[in-house]
Amino acid sequence: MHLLSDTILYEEVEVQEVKCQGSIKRRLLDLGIIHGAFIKPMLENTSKDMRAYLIKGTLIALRKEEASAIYVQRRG
Amino acid sequence: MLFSKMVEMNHQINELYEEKRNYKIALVGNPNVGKSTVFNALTGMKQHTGNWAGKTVSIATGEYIYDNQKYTMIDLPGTYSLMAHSKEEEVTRDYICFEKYDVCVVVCDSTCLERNLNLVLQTLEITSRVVLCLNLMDEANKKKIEVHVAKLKKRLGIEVVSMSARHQVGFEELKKAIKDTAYKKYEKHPTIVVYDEKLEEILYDMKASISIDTMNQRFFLLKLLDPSIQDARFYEYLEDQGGKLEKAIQKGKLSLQEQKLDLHYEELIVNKINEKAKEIAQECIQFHDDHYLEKDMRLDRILTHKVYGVLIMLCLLSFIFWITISASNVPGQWLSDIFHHIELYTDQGLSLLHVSPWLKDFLTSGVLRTTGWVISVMLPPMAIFFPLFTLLEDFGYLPRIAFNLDRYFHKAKTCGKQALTMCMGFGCNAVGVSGCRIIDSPRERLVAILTNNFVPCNGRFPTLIAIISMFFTGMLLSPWDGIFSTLLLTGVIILGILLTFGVSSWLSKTILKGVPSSFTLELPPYRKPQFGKVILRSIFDRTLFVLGRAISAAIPAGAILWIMANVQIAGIPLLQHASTFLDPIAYVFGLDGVILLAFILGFPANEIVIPIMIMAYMSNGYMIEFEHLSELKALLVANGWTWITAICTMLFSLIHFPCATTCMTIKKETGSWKWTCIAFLLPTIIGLIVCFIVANVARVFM
Ligand SMILES: Nc1nc2c(ncn2[C@@H]2O[C@H](COP(=O)(O)OP(=O)(O)OP(=O)(O)O)[C@@H](O)[C@H]2O)c(=O)[nH]1
Ligand SMILES: [Mg+2]
Repeated sequence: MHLLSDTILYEEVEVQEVKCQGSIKRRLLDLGIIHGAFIKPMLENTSKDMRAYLIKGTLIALRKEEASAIYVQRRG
Repeated sequence: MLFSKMVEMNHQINELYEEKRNYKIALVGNPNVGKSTVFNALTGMKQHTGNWAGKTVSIATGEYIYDNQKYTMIDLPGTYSLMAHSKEEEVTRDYICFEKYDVCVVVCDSTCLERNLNLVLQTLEITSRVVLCLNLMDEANKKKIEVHVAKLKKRLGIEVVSMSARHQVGFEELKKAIKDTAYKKYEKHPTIVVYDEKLEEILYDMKASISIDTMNQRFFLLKLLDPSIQDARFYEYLEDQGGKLEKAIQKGKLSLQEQKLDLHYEELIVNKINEKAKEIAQECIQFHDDHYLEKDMRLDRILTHKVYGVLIMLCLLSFIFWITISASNVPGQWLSDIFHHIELYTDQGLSLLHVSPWLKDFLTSGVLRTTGWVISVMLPPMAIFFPLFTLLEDFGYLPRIAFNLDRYFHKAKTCGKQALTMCMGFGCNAVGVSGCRIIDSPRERLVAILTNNFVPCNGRFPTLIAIISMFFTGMLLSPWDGIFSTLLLTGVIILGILLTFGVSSWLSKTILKGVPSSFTLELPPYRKPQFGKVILRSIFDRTLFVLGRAISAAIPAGAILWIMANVQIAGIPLLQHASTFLDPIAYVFGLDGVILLAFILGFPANEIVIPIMIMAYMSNGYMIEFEHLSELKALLVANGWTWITAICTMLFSLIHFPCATTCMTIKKETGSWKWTCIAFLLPTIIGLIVCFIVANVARVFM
């Protein structure tokens, strides 16, 4: 398993587990970041601590802290 | 007992069903799917719309008539689910869960229906009277996404309408669907989402033991079981019958714990809903083109580029300033000509009517002239800057600004969405402050509220532009001149933004200590702005609104000033007493008594600061008519202005106490006088310090 924050740009990965608590977890779940969903990092900002991910047809930006709570699996 | 209650309820329902002539329609949906656009189109209201998530932060109501029937529509803030995270989502959650309404219209984005279906499924657990509105169909078509409406209708058992709100497509069908649904009998909706087997068993036991069966019982029981929710209202809603409910809940929670379901309760629920949404989406939606995002991404790669992103942003901002500055002059001149004539004619007219000279003077030089200056100096920059900014907003650029600037907000230990509220501040700081509801963490929300005033609102903007055009243009040759003014204005705005970072960071280290909390930032697809509509609407709705506010503040201020200038104590006008008193204090900060007085009297609305100055100076004996800005400059120079005064006035205009409306909004949003006072003092003190340093350093070098 890898962290979402460690993936490289444009590499589509599959979500395994969301390891955070409270309202942020709930929000990530609501956005469709759940086990089995595909997610792909698309953009990166200046300091690389925020990236925009493509999830279920929408672009959602997350800071590194949040992205590193999401465990993913490389595909193929 | 139970029977009588049921009879009573039945009675109530029949009453609702038959006699009601005013139906209440709630509009919900994910953020940025076009709820307010639908709302505006149906009710003719003017709710804020734009291409980013989180514009609507409080409830708005409007009405429309269809088939001789009145419908009251309620526009709600966008939300991803009925479990609230932030303040604005709480508003929606509370409304949908606890208020009475007849129909709930769930507006969806047809281009990402799967995610939107989550909310539909949750809403269906509360009420069966749901209309699914598939908005943004035009975009779905463009992206070659096919939605099978009939299938969806059958699958969900509700009315489904596909539409394109921005292009006025589908409203007849929507109104009809709403009507049909409103006339429908209240009934329980067939369960669509079936949860974990064990959880369903627990639910079944609970239902059996409380022995009442209301329509949304399932939803409330699920919420009452949720270990992370402690909201008494859920409990109150289901009226406890002799403690049965409480016992049932305790028992249910206990069995949850036994089966170890309580640890992942939320996930258990959300996963099932997500699964169902996915299943339905797969049945009803077809994607004919997988590369539809490519074009958007190409643009995004430029606009959020690691190196050039911020640079492009600054260029874009400067470009807007450049247009504003260069295009404001001519209409400003027209307007002042017009007012010049109005004043002349009024003067003559009043003379003919034999109005007493002091009243005539009061009306023309006091009231009319202030109003005239407010309009001719303030209107053109407002009417140009605001629409341009709104175009960027409609295009979808604001979330990209937030994306680009997140690095700095992160360093300041605050929320990246603060960039969005900061942008709102350019329009109006009061709007920016209430917009801070989109920030989940209370600490970060407070930081954003306290620092919102560091970006100049549409009311202060013209002051900056007027001073720049008077004192810093005409020094260089033609093209360079405009560029110099633009750079100066950009510099002032950047200073405001830097102060926002600096002060936020300082607050996060001192009185609002804390670590940055988590948030997600949606980057919606770019949308072609509706040029004509945006320009018309921002001029007629927003600019005229701000202007109206300015005039309503300017008239009494003009009157007060006129009185102060004409009532004499010891042979000297009151106004002069006040400004002489303030002069030595103001001098230290590079200002003068009149300027300081203008800022103080301008507390109700910042737009009137310059007109107050003009009037005060004129009452000192130097009269000017409505002519060109250069005459205004002559007036200021005759009253001792130098470029240092100009710079310090600009700085103080950028950094001083928020206007009265903003202060009131801050009080409302924070619910505390303490924070309102801090919001008032913080920029004032910083502004004075900055002016003090600039004035004194500049004087040394002069
Ligand atoms: N292309 C297209 N754009 C639309 C349509 N409906 C709305 N929009 C645009 O979508 C954006 C969002 O619309 P709003 O009405 O502000 O959305 P909202 O759901 O009220 O958003 P929040 O209040 O932030 O939750 C605006 O830029 C609208 O112009 C549509 O049918 N087609
Ligand atoms: Mg809205």
